[in-house]
Amino acid sequence: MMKIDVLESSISDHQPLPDKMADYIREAIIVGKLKPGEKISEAKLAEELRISRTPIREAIRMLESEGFVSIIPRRGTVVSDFTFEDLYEYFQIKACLEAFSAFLAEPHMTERDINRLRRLNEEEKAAIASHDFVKFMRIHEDFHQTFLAKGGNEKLKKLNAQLMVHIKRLQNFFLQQPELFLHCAETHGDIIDAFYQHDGSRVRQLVEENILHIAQQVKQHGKSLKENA
Amino acid sequence: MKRDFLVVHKNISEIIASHQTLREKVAELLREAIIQQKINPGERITELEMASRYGLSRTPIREAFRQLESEGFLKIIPRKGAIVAELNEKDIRDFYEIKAVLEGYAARIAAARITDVEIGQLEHLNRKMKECAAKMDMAGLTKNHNEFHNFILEVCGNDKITAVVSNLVRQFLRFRFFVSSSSSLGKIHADHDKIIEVFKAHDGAMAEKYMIANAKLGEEVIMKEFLSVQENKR
Repeated sequence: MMKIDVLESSISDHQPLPDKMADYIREAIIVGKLKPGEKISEAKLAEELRISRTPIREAIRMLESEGFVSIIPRRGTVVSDFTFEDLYEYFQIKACLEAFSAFLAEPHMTERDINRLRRLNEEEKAAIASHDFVKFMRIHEDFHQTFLAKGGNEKLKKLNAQLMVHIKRLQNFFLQQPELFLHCAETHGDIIDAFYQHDGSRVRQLVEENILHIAQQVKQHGKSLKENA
Repeated sequence: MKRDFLVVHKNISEIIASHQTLREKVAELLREAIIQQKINPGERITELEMASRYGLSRTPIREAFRQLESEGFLKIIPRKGAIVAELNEKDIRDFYEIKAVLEGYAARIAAARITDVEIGQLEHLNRKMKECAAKMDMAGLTKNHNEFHNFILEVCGNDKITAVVSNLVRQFLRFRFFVSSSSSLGKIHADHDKIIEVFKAHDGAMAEKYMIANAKLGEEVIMKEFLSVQENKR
């Protein structure tokens, strides 16, 4: 299952082994290598990776608290299913919290930060033009991180990071919705203008509207899946 | 002796019978001990000490530590065990900022969809709060207060907001101890009256505004209590 030597890479990255394991399993779930309902065997993983079961068990507990796996008594660990309704709910929270984070960040945004946003926005448009949507999503995340990292509410930063993890499960869905990317890239231009004008309330409103717009698409998609089923 | 909380009050077979994992049980015992201030911020606990007290292996203890770290109760120090996380003014401000944003949004959504029956239930909870305040029944007051807030989150219909807020509130259960000794909590029900009025008009923008103001008042009440407890410690 795993091609790299986890133990070695855990040591070289200075990352505790359970965290490394959690990253690895999470990634496999996000990209769909592990499917909803699929069983994850501690024993099998331990054997394949030649590590003890304790760090694997810890990793699984972490993933359980994040909602990626469910531990079912006498059945073991399975990849938890997700619905578009769940992700719509996460997006609503993301909209509120990111918009507020942007509002808190506004007074701390330097000219350099704003220039960085402009550069990233240009790169976003270039990625869309060349249909490199995976690249777009990476730049898009950098754009948001530029202001999410500012402002002083540590709990808020932690919550934003936790939400980001959930939303990664939508990666495959987004790759099929290029028109959403165009909408984002355009709104990002307006957000930059509002930062430039030091209009924190406008920034907040734009970020919230942008994310709620995406939330609506996620909800719609969930509805149409249900109707077709 | 401070360490009384570590006395095993349930044996292993009872834990197994209660369908709780050992990790959950250990986490619950420790969380309770921290909330009730049987162990204090800054105090150190070790896996080894816990393991020998409970007669357990270190694995469930380590898992419980991790869980409580993610809930904000403990800070894990590699190779040294864990210390009970300190709370400071910034924690309180950060918490109420987030609570205001999420509850404000929930109130905005709830205002559009709340039914007359549901408004009646909010009125009932607010009445019970007033009765508790009159009798100085602080536990009852806190309970009805929390139910009022949770009810609005339920009407909003986003389960995840409820989960995020209650997870944050759990970290702040230590403050409920302060709230219960506070008389100013009685003021909060006047805010609740205003929220009910704008719900009747289905005015989302005002519901959000009043909800945020209510969180601000909550923050002031807790901060006052917190600072006076800090002052007494000196």
